[in-house]
Amino acid sequence: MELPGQRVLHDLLSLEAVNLGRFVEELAGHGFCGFVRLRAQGRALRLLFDSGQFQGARLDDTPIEAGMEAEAVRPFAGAGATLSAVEIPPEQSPILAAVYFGKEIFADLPARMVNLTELVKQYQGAVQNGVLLLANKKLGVGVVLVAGGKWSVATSREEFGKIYADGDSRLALYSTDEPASRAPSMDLAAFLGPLTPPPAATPAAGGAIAAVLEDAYPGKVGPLRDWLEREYRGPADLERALAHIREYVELFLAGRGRGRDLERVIAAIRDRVAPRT
Amino acid sequence: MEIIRYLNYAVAGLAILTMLLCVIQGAAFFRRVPGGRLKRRAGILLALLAFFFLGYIASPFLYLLEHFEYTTLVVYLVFFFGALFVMLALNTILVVLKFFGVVEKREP
Repeated sequence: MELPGQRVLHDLLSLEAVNLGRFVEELAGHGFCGFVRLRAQGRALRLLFDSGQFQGARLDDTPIEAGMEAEAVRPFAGAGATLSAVEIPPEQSPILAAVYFGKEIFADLPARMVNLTELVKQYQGAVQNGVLLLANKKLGVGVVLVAGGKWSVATSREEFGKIYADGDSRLALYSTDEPASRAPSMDLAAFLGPLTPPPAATPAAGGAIAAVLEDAYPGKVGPLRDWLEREYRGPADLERALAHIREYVELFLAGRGRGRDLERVIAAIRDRVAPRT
Repeated sequence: MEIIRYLNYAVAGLAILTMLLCVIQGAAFFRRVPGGRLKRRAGILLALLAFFFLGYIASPFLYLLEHFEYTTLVVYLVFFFGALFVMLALNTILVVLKFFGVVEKREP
């Protein structure tokens, strides 16, 4: 959803090139209003801010439970994720919060099917706080804010009427009367602190693993050695490397009934990289 | 009609030669794959190529000997195993592309 007046501050930065903790601290210091979006492997995590205060996170369509934000961010580190920061005008902040963390009363309702006056009458008592959005891909978003049971058009009436008149517009109503169990304004920078970019791959780090593989499959592990030199980031990255090695061997090297050989190779790599005491 | 008959044999001869090249290439491919699932699939593809080659040789001879029912059967068997060949080849390409990250793996 694109809100009126939103502005992209940073787009598609590589997460590995960014210290997320400091980045968030920097935004908070400037009273950032908007969201930071992390994207990897078809998933998107949005971290919402209002006047520099962290409000909460949402993974795809699901709000993240308070306190679980760090867990939600972790899979994006080292997964080739991209980072974008989108600023919205401060007055739009309640809209975003309602959409992200409010209760969806209805969404994606074709506006042409709705008598707006009747709809407002029907929900006037039920929704005391929230937003009614009228979204149109070409014309943007019209907003009705609901505060203390009072409904008021936040965008200009002309603009709202124009969007409402368009056949492709869709209505959505979100209520913030029963806010989700959140603990807002937590110290996001503190919990993102440990999420500094993973160490860069060093050719030497994968050398021990490549040696074990070369012993087991002489002359057949050139692409694996290249991958290890390019990607392997040390013992903390061992499980990912082993998964890749296993997949490579099963696909290109192992013969029928050679599963035990592979397990022996994996055990030898584990012993070489992280010896058991 | 005589011309069509000769044209049939010419096309059949061309197809046999082309398939012979495919069998040779398939055998070279099979030898070059070191092992694993890819080797097994290359083996199946090679066996299918050998079957096609035999089918390509058999069909004009059966036609010449006027065993038309057998000719039709051989042709449809080649069609059927040809479809299986294409399916297996596409699937193998997809597996390799997924491994190298060219095609995104689906989340479980």
